[in-house]
Amino acid sequence: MPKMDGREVLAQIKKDESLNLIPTIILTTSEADKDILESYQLQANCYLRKPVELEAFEGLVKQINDFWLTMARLPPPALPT
Amino acid sequence: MAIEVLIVEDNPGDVRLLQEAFHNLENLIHLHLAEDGVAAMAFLKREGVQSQSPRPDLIILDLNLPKMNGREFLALIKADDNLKMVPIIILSSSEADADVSLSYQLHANCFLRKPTQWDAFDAIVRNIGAFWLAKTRLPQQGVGA
Repeated sequence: MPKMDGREVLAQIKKDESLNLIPTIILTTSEADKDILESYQLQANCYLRKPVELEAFEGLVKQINDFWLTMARLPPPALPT
Repeated sequence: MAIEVLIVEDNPGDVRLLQEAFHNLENLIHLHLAEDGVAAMAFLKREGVQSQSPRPDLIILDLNLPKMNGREFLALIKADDNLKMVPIIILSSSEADADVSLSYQLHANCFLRKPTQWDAFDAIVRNIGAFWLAKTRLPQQGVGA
């Protein structure tokens, strides 16, 4: 990504105690093992390969919805400070 | 190559349900069991009788465990540069928001509520299979070592 790439965004989110509980899913075209490893080392919650075909892309978004937004427990909204 | 899955769970009934539910995935995975956090650490560190244990590709962790509870285990693993990349799914009967928040703050990869009914239990495991074992890219062992 321009200006600040995804690794830097991920690292900053996961170092910030007010933000680090937000589940962060990597969605990228990279299939490089080193990118996968680095993402998990930076505490990405999950790594998904971005499909190039629309149908597969829609299927993946549905799976994200079915798993993360339906089945998984997400952190409760932050209380006002 | 089979995916190595470590289940850290002390309740024999839940272990049996997990084994039964994972049965349909037995061609895809090798299932390993640890009954508490200490046993799970020994598995990961390849200590004692666990000297030949494989490195897990995915850990499914209960929170309330004897000897070393799931929160302590999670904190230790995610602070260890050699282990922190292993995805950990919390599977807990706790509904407390504080447990969910703390788990994510300790870098659990995901939090799932452990159901009490078999059908829901089976559905959770099928979803873990469909999402984490089939769709998610897991870190490859040995890369970067």
